[in-house]
Amino acid sequence: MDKFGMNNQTDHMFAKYVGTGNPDTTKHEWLVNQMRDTYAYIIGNSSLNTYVAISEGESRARVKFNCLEKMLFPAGPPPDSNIED
Amino acid sequence: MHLYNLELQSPTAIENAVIGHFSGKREQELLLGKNDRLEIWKLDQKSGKLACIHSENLFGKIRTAIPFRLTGGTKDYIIVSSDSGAINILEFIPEKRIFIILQQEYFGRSGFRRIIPGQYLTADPRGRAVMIAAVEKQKFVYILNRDSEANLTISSPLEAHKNATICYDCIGVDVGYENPIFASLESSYQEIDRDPTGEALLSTEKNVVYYELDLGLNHVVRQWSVPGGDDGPSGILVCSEGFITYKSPGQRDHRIPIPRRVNPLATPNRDPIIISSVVHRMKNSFFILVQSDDGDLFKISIDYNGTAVNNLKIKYFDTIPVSNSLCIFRSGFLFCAAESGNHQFYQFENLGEETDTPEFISTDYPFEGDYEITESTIAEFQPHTFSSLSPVSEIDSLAPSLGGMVYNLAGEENPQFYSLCGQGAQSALKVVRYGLEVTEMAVSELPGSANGIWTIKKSLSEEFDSYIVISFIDATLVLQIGDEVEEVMDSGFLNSSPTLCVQLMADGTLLQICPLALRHIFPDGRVTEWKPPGNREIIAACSNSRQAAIALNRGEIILFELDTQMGILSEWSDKMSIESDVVCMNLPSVKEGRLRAPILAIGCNDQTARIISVEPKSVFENLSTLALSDLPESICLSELTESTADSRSNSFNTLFLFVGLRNGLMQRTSLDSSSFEMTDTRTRFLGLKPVKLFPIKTQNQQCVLTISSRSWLNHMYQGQNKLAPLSYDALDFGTSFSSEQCPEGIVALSQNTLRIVSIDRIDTQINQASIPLSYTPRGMIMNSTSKNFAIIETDHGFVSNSKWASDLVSQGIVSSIEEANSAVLPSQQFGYIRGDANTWCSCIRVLNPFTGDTTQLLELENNEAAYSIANIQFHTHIGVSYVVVGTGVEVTLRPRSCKDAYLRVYAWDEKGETLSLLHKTPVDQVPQSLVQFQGRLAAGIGNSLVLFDLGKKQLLRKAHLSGLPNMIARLTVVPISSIPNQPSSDYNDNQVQKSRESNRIVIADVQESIHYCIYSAYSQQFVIVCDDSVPRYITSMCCLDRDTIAVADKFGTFSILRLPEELLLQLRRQSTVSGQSNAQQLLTAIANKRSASVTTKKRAGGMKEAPYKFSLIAQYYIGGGDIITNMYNLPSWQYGGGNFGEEPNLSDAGNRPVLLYTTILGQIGAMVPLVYLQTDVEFFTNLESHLRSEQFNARKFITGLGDEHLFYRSKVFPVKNVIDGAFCEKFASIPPSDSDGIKIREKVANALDRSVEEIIKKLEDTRALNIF
Repeated sequence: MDKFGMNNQTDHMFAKYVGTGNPDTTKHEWLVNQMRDTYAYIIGNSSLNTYVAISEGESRARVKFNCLEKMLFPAGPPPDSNIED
Repeated sequence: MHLYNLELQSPTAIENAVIGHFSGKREQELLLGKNDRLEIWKLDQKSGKLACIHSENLFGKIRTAIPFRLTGGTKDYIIVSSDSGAINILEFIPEKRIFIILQQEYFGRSGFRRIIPGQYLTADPRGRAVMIAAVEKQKFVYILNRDSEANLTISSPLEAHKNATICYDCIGVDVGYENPIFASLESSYQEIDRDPTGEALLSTEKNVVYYELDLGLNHVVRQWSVPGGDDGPSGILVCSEGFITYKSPGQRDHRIPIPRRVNPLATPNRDPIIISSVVHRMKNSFFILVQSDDGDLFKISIDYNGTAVNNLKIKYFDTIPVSNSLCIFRSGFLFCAAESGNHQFYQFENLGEETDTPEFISTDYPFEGDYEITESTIAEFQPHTFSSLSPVSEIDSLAPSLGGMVYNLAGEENPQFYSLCGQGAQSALKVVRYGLEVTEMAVSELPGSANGIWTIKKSLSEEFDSYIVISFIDATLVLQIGDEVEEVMDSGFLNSSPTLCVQLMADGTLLQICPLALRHIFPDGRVTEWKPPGNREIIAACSNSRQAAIALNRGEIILFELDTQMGILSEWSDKMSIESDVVCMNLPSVKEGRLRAPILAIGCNDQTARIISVEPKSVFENLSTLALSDLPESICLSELTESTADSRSNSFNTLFLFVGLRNGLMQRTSLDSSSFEMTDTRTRFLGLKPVKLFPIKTQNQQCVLTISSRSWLNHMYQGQNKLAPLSYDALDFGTSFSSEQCPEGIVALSQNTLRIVSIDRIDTQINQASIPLSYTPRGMIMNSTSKNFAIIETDHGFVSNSKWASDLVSQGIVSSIEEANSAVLPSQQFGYIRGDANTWCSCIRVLNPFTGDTTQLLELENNEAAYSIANIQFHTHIGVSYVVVGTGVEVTLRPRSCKDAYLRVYAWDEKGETLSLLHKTPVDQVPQSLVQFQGRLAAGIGNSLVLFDLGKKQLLRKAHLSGLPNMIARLTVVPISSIPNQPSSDYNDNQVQKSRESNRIVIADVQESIHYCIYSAYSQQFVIVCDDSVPRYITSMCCLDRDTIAVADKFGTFSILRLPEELLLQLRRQSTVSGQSNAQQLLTAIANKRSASVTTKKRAGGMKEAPYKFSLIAQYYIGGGDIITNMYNLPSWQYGGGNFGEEPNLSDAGNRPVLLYTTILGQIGAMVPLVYLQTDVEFFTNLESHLRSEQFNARKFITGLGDEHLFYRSKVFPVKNVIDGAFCEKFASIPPSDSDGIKIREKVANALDRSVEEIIKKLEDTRALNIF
């Protein structure tokens, strides 16, 4: 199928930039990436971090920690691919 | 419309604080990273005060800043990670006071991305390498070294990436001079993402991963190994939920629990975590201070032999506010960069050995396996008040600033900010004023009103001032400064006559000039007098340490000079006579090594100020003349100096001529150092009274105190001339004052009192007073009659003290409520007791802002929490004002839900001091926003807008609009147009009362930007006519006029939106239609027009998208992701603020409207509309674009952390029509002492076709005219 070695290149890009979508991205994959990106943004942006901390009544470090913990498993387990087939 | 953004107060939240030797000297300095600003502070060991040496806006977000010292170096470099995808290495140059970017290496894209490094930054403790890591996957190691010229070099990055791995933290391990090792805490989600059963999550472990940098092979290896160094045992401490583990490769782990507070009602599922830590190395030992998220500090000490660790000990130390960073100075001070509220500075009293709190030792706990907390293994302690630390000082901070109002409540020259700040127990209402903070040291009464004051030393050997000389209309009072200030008669000064001038001469003699005599007083008490000829009187006099000049009436000036050999004051034979009377005169101080000052400045009543030569060879030659707009009142020749760290670059200081006029203007002119020609005159209006000038010294700087109806201080700050008012009572006269207790104060006369005051800080022109609150403030309103505030405060996850005490009693732990109350720790220091996720504590407070007293405190019970508050005058109850508070009971944050929600209606008592509950109305969801609209209450409840009338037993629903996208976050009533020829659109109101009320309301959704809504009273319907095409997460909004709205979102973008022209036309047509039903029909027609956008997306509840979209007027990224939490629209800053309830009148020609905002990180800024002249817009746009093009040539002066300025201001949405004032002002702060700096200034000035001075003047004027 791959006449021009295109897939190789795109595969490389996908590997390099985590979270890039493609036509085969499932809803779950998209969601997981989306949520991880959001959590990473909240961790990185100190103002947003403070904003969340104030609404939750937590310390900023705790909010950061909670977000990091949630990044591991943000949107539940993936759908069972065997059943889909 | 163009806007000019000005920074009034830079962010006050400190996200990073580190200690180092950034100037390369022996003293330790504090480096503070404040959002986009990097600051260097130094410690005054004697007073224990911190002072800012340098502060610079770097136009980039500072995520982490660390000190870095090359092996064998003496100076610390600063490594900064930003969101620009570059690593920056900066050096502080203390002589020039600038940060220079030494290295800037790009490695990735910009933004807070999860795989672009920048989140973590750590250096090898021996100064060889640095690791920069992302939250996920990527890590780079850079090797730093120096080349043959001792310049810092940076290697190309070495990758240490690992796919599908979340990094929790990373740190450089101290391994001595072995290969550098970085340890990181990681866990992999590779398995989790593939496992549909979810079991992989349970088996996922967090790993400590060591990365060894092989300096020989130049690559990074992921591994576990390599021994320790020589100062300590090496290794790392891993802080987890509930415990701390010592780990070192090849060694046994040691584990200690994090002790928790004794709490019989504890919720066991919450383990403490460590939020910040600091290692302090002493000569032969070291210890570690860690802070838990309750604010408790623990001291960890490690017992070791060589590299083998025997045990770890942890002991409760003290409790301080929850911090972002902790820093320990070698001299025994602790700096705490607080998360919320003021930053604290402490001194160590002891190292915690004396206190008898229990110490926990790692040998008592298992070092591996699960750590279970049981009755026997729980580590508990009872917190105590400060026993090892003592508070020394604090740095004011507004962060986090959550809301408030701007209003001229105190009737001052400028309005005050009443800002709701802080979180939890650190909450406060801060009253922020424009002006330098003044500390009052003493006040004493004087017998009458004086007309002059001086301080003078008795002899040259005195360190401090000996006398205060006060001149009255017919007498002179001499006060001696000692332990007490008391009157003396034997000072040698003449007491029976008023005084014009006193001076300590260079030979130790004293000089007193009275209207009828010039008296030269010798130390032994002898006095020689010179008397003016008969019928003539001395009307003005001045002196310096070697010269004295007097002016007689009818225009004659006589000069005296000290003859040091003879020890006498000799009169010059030449006299000068001028046509007009001299009003005031001044001699500059004699420069070191000179015999005399070369010039004399006089102000004459022919409205001129002149510079006259007093050199013998050109005596009384008129060197230059300045025409004035009124009679001069006071004149002063002075340099303005800035206390540089050490270099005495005073020779660069230019001499300034200050002239204070009768009409309240002050003119400042710089004088050429050789020809004394006047250039660059600036004029400022200072107040309603004649302006008097007094050269003084404060903060070791030469400044000029300027007194009109308000007192001002003219001083240099970071190379720029600043004029700032003093936040103090009006003064009449003032002068420097120095005594043992107060080395740099001001003694001043105010009416008939003598005041001794001091100015502590001149680095900020803003001062703040703080009124403590109980919980995180959520909103405030003001009673218009009593001016009292009603503030709602709410905290999540905490139990209020009263509830906790009653729980203790009800569970039988203590027997009486008194006993329980005594067990409650003071919340100001220790915070509140944590509850579970459903607990809320909340209160409604009525506060008198003048005294700071709480007149009423209504604590809400049963986990009811207040979210919104509004002042409502119902149209059915004219003249009575009610307060409506929106509350929720047992609210869960995620997903958003609540058990019950209410609208509580309170009535003010007659005096406006207390509230009494009328009734409460249940509603479906938490009301997040309330506003008075059409004489009714408009409440944003969930995704619907409901209009309520006041009923006897509850509120009555009148109209409602549902189906807004997510949740209504803010509501604002649109002001009625003030332009008379545009009839306001109250087409359907017959009642006079109601016709003055606007029928338009703006609804801000929490995610989907704003909706412009028109209410038709005829059909009692809301019609949305316009919405936004961009999803903005609105945090704050403010109407500028009827059609224009300023909004700010959660990602740091500020925008101004306006109704599109087409819609405006339609609405105008509709408003002129007669008859209510016709108007109604037209409105419906507008609303039903097909949406202009391509996709007509259906909204929840079947609501369609609005037919029109807002047009974008301006857009701006506020910087560093800071979030605007509140915006205020002021018609004018000067004397402004308007009266409460009056709509800002923007069309008034004399007013200069300004939009003020406060941000969550404590920044205060202003947006100034450039509406007066198109040339202003052109000027600033050009200046900005020329500076942008110089940004990378002039890296030294206009630093950026890797982003181009245009890109930086367009981080989320592209910048439009907003000019960055802080960036333009960089032009003025380029040091003229640097040859490159001069070149860049000239280049930009040439490109703009103006002179450098003109540009700086324009920048200063824009600030001074519009705001400050």
